[in-house]
Formats: sequence, structure tokens, C-alpha cells
Amino acid sequence: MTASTVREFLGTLLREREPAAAWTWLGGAAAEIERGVDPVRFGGLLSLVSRYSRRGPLAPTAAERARADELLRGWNPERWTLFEAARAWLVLARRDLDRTSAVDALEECYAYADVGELCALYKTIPFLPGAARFTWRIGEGCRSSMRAVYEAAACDSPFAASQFDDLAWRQLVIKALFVEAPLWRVHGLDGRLSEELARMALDLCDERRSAHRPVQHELWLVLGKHGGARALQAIEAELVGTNARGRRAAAIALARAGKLQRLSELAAKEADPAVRATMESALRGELSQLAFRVLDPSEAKPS
Amino acid sequence: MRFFDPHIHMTSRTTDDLDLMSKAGVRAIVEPAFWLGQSRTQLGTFIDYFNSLLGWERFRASQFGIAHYCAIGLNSKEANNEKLAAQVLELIPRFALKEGVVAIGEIGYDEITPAEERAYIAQLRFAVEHDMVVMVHSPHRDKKRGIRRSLDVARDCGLAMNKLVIDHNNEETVEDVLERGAWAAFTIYPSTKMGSERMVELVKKLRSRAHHRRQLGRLGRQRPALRPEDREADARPRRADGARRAHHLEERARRLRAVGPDRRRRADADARDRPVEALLRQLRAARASAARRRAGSELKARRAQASDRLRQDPEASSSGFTDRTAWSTSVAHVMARADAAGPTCWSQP
Repeated sequence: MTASTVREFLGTLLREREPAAAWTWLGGAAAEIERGVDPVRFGGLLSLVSRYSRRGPLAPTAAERARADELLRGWNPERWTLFEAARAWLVLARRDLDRTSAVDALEECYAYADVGELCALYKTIPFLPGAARFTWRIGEGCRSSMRAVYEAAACDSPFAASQFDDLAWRQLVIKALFVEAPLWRVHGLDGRLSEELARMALDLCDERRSAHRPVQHELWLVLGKHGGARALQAIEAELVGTNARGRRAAAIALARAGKLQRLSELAAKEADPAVRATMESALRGELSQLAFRVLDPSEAKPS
Repeated sequence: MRFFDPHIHMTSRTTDDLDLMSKAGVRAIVEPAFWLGQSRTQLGTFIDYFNSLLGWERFRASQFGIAHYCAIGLNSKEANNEKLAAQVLELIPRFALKEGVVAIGEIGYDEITPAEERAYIAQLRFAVEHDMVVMVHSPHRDKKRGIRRSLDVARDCGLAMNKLVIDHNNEETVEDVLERGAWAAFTIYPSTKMGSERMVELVKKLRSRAHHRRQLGRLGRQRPALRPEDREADARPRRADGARRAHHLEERARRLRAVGPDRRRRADADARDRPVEALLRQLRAARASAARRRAGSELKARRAQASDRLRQDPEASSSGFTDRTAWSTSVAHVMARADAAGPTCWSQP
């Protein structure tokens, strides 16, 4: 993957979706950026996208999503907007992306960005050369309590899993539970589960239960094979609870912990059809983080 | 009923206020940039302030189903710190063209100084260049002259009058604004700006003209949003059975809501809101039954009672955007006040 191949790909998507006038404006703005613009003008052009581009989802086709994943394993533009694609396309028009001047210009953009621009900027970073230069910046996005910003930095991209150190990574994971962001969309989550992360999740589970609050269903996604007897006990406690989404998630967690025998016993006497269906699909091997998609309330209408 | 509040400073309102506004039917708001009760001393605090109008406040409002828009500008008070003002003016282009920015504002005059005028003109030119609406704050001291000058200078800068909103009008200034073809806005803020009752009288006089009236979350002590039902129930000296039941239910709902959702986990809040929602449904039903019993002529009497009440309550205010068609419904709302146990807001002198 290079920045220019991603740019070419985004350009194709945009050309097919933008009205002629918007595409002309974008072309002019990109040409200006290619020639070199000062940081104020650069930020201004990114802002102006909202005045010229069509508003709405990018809505890539299945083939386009597959192409995106080919370009950068783990990149899923399924939930991108046209504004974001246009802004990413403009950022990638810079000729100095591998130099400090681009980092400085981008940092200046972050300082003056509104929510929409922040999301677009965070979503663009994984395509830039020298990813390590932006690890702190993506970390800032993952500290945000604005869910859209958090998602832009953490979800649908391989950046965090491949770049974050253990501390930053664990904080990203637990933060998702706090802002109720979809952890199942953090690419590479399954590959970076650990004993320490399971311990943090189980401590949080205890806190929630002490406070008589429901446990976030995605907490069960964080355990994987870790956490030992304590994890199994927590999962079993969730399974005898009344929260259907939590029970479905705990059922998947039980399978992820390798307790298939126990799960099949439970499935045999499960009364709730939705919970039983989840148990059965887990027994059939639907165990990856993607199995949690059906439990995501914001995925009510998956595209 | 759904409301659009075209001028509110959410920076000085609590999350509980957003909750109440949402329940009252407020669905969209405009937060113009302004002074924060004391003058800033650093450029960075302006940057962070503008950022919060485009970021956090937007997000915060969206959690309550309220679309948050804003106006960006250097206010007249802080325009008098000329060294800092020059730097802030350079910031304006970096923020004013963003999505969600619907105007340049609040700008204009405070003391009508040359420094204020320089900042005003610079921002008017920017607005003309970018085809933007301008929201003008009119001065409280020497208001009449300040408004005339605001209009003159805006015209001289080439701003189309239909792109100009002059705010904080009163009986003495509104004709000047309307004659020029600009929008006249009124701030219902009884202790220092328009009182609700005066507003009603003025609108009766001007009802054939385009204008808008609003309540805003000012820096001062004021209620953020009023439910029409509350005002009606409140304004009646003797409640019909339905209304008494409504009052009782409302008290229970209020007790259940004693802790705001910002201080709780959302799931917890949801569980807690269920009985509240059920109560509110009963409340609405009780109010509707009370309302059915009221004849049209009673409405007139109630308005009069509400006016009486307003006379004794300097805090009464309302929210909304009116024009000729909206007038008949909205005017009732400006005439009464919020429930007595409404939130006390963080306030500044």
C-alpha cells in the first residue's frame, strides 16, 4: 500500500459519486495542494469540502470494500462519509507526506478541526508513510470521549493494533467500553488479547456489578482465552442474568474460552430463542470478534 | 411542538439543561461565539473556545437529539484589547468556514469605540466575501445609536440586509432595524433586556413584520427551556382534576430525575428513565384531558393570568422562533413560566 494507490482508489470512488461541480471543485483544490499551500489554506480547503461535496455516506460496494482491504489489510471504509473520503483524498494530494512539513501541517489542522474534520483526519493517518510518526496523534483520538472521533481513530483500521504499545493498546480497548464504541470493529483485537487485558476487564466487570449496573456486553469480547477461573465464573454469572444482549455475548465468550461442552449443555436447555441461536452459531465456530457484530445496537441495519 | 433556539450559549449551561431543552422540544440551536463573563488574556483560550463550539458542544447537544450550530466571531467587548483582537481576527477564517458554522457573530458594538469598529468592519468584510449571515450584538449602553451605526456600517461594507440579524432590540430600536430590511431579534431576559410581556405587546404591534424572538441561555441566571404544558399548568390558579393529577405526576417524575444522566452511566439512566417515561405519558394524558375541558375563551383568560404572573416573576422566559404564522402558538409560551422546581443554572454576575 502506498498513499498514492489509496488516493487513486478514493478518487475513483469519489468521481463516481460526486456531482460534476463538486468533482471540479475537488480537482481544483487538490491541484492547489499539490502545488503547495500554507497550513491555513490547507485547513481551509479541508473545511470547504462541506460546502462543495455531496453530503452522505460513501457506501462502498462489496467489491470496493474488498479492494480497500487489499490495499490495507484491516481497512474498512464501509462507514465512511463522502466528506471523509474527499478530505482524505485532499490530504493525500500533498507532495510532502513523508516529510516533517506534512506532519506539522496536519497537526495544525487538528488544532483547528471541527468534529467532521477530526474524523476525516484520523481516518487518513493509516495511509501515510511513516506510521510511527502518528502514533501519539492516533492515541489522542482514542482518548476522546466523542464517540465519532474515537471510532475514527480506533475502528476499521489496522493502525492501533500494529502501532500501539501495550499500555496504549489496553487503554484503547477499555475506553471503547466506556464510550460504548464498537470494539468488534477494532481491527486486530483478537490478535492482541492478553492476561493483563482480561484482568482489567474483569476488574471493570466487578465494579459494574458492585454498582448494580449492567456489564457492557463487549466486555465479554475482551477475555478471549484469558482470565482463567475468574473469567469463567464471571461469564457464568452473566449467563444466569436477565440481560439478553449480555447473555448472548457471554455465550460467545464461553466458546472463545474453549468451553464448548459446557456451552452445548446450556444451549440444550436455553429458553430464549435469540440466546439459543447465538449459542448455536458459536458452537458452529462463529467465535471471532466479528461474531459480536450482531449484538451491536448501531448495526440494526447492516449494509 | 418543536423549537429552534437561534441564540443560546450552551457553554454556560449544564447537561441537565440540555436534557430539559430536549424534553421541551428543542431540536436545533445556534450558539454564537461571545464573551465568557470575563475577558480572555490569551490567544490559545480563543482557539480552545472556538474548538469547543465546533466539537464538544456539538457532541454534547447531539446526545440529547439537539442539532448544534454555531456562529464564530470576535465579540465587541474583547475587541477592545487590540493586540489580542488582531490575533483573534486572524483566527476567524480558520473556524468560520466550517460545517455547522451558520453565521459570523456575535459581533458589533459594546462601547462603540474605534477598536470595536475596526473588528466589526474586518468581520463584516469576511462575511460579505464568503456570503455569510452576520449576527450583531447591540450595545446595552447607547443602544439606539449603536444599532443605527451597526446598520450603517454593515450597509457600507456591502452586506445584504437580509443577511443581517440585529439582536437585543427593544421598543425603541426595532423600527430602525425593520425599516432597513434587516432581521430584528429580541432577547427575552427580563432583568436587563426584553421582558416577556413587553415582547408580547411589541409583537402585537409589529405582527405584520418579519422578525424573530427568542430566549437564550445567557450567562446570567435564567431557565433554559420551558415546557408549554408547565406554563399552562403553572399559570392556572386553580387546577382542574386532570391538571392536579398532572402536577402530582410531574412532582414524582421530577423526584425520579433528581440525579442527572451526566452523573450516571447511561444504562443505569435508561433503567431509571423507564418509570419516568411511563409517568410522563400519564402526565401528558392527564394534561390532554384537562385541556379538552377548556373552552377557547378560557385561553384568553389564562393568558391574562400568565401575564399577571410574569409581572411578579422576572425570570420567566421562553424559547422559539416566530414569524407571523408561528405567532399564534408561540405567544402563549412566552407568557408563562417554567415549573417552580426547574434547575438552577451555573450563573455569572
